[in-house]
Amino acid sequence: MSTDAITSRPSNPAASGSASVASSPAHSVVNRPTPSSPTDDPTTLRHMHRDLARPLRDLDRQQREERLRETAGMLGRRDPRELLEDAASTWGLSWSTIGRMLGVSPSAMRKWRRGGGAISSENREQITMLSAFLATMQTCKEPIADMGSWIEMRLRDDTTLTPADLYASGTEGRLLLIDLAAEVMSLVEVLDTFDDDWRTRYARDSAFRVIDDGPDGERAIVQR
Amino acid sequence: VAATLDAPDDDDAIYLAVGEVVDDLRPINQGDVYRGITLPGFPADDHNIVILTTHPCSLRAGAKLQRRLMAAPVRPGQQIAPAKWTTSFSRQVPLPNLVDGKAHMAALTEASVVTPAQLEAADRIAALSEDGIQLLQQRLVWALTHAVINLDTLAEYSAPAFAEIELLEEWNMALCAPDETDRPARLAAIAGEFETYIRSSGVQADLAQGRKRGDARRRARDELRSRVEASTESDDGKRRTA
Repeated sequence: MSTDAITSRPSNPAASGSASVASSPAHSVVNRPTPSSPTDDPTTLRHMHRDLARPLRDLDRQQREERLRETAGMLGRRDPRELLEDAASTWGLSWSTIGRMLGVSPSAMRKWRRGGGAISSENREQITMLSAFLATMQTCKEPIADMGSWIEMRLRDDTTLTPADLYASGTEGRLLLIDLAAEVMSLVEVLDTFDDDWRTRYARDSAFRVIDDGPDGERAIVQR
Repeated sequence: VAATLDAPDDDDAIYLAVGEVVDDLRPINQGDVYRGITLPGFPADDHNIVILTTHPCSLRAGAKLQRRLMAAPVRPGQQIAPAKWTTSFSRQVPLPNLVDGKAHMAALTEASVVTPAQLEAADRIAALSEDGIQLLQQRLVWALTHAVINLDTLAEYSAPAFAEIELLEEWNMALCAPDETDRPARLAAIAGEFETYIRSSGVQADLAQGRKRGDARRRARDELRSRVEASTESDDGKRRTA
């Protein structure tokens, strides 16, 4: 701890000098850290913050993952077809998006919807995890107003990546989305963590775009 | 930057259904494959399978199919690996494992027309998934104009139509009884009710907007649920009266 940090801070010239500061009632040692306290040095504080940030984030992440698994475990008691129906009816997801998030083929998803096709234990776990994820997202700091829309929308206007893509990528992608909803990570941090080359790998069509007022007044695809 | 066409993740990804006759509850859509049709202008033995190529937005006038729809002939062809889609057979659409596990190809530069009556008399043997339809659209645009439109743009454009077709299929599944005697008439009636509902309720307009699509889907499903409940109560009442 440098005494310079203490002696240079007061704007009142009368307060300069450590002896007079310590003896002045207006600068009680009860209210101010002693010069020897490590928490009084901004540089040290920054180091402490840096050193603690990673373990804290990891701990927070572990707890979120644990809660997600716990919720999935509870939901695992329910009929998986009922959970699928919930994802569509309660959350407004499309069946094709549900299939993509679960990592099952469109034809398998179609069979499930029609009551056919056995649901394997692995797929059942995936279904309960999706339900747990949707429920968890609603407990975050900023609940998603329209889950069925948000999950299919681009995360930023300069990428094709959607929440459904991150979810489908696996556990890390799901936790990133929860971190985003909990506002402990910014969107760009989430995307950088997901893939540091996302700007190139998941860039939008640079030549064409969709507009709402085409030649016949309807939506249209036009050159950028 | 070199422009390339896209490829599916795997062969399964392009199909919503294949290897079976696709039932009538699935609304007719671009990418549906029919057996038992030879397009006009071709010798009778040239092909007997076709794929619908009309865009989902142009298939119907209201709830009814247009009188003529675009289709392309499908013939036996080479099984190609997904990776080769990007540089090979760019004027065709590979249809892996289409019939008895054998690959076929749709020739996009030989398109002609079919009528709804022809489709009704034929067997629908496959339906492309949303990803499959977007790959078809990309190759169709390339075959006709040599422009490459990325899949994300095609997906964004078609999303409202895909959402409507998915919801209509749900209505068909819930409202058309398995023992319905006149299925075409019943399905036409459901399509009409659906069209009226989505137009009058604002659901159709909201499905067109990405930010409102989830909520619009939820409303259409709520409406379906109340119609099913009303229909069940009505059936119970009829049984009690009888």
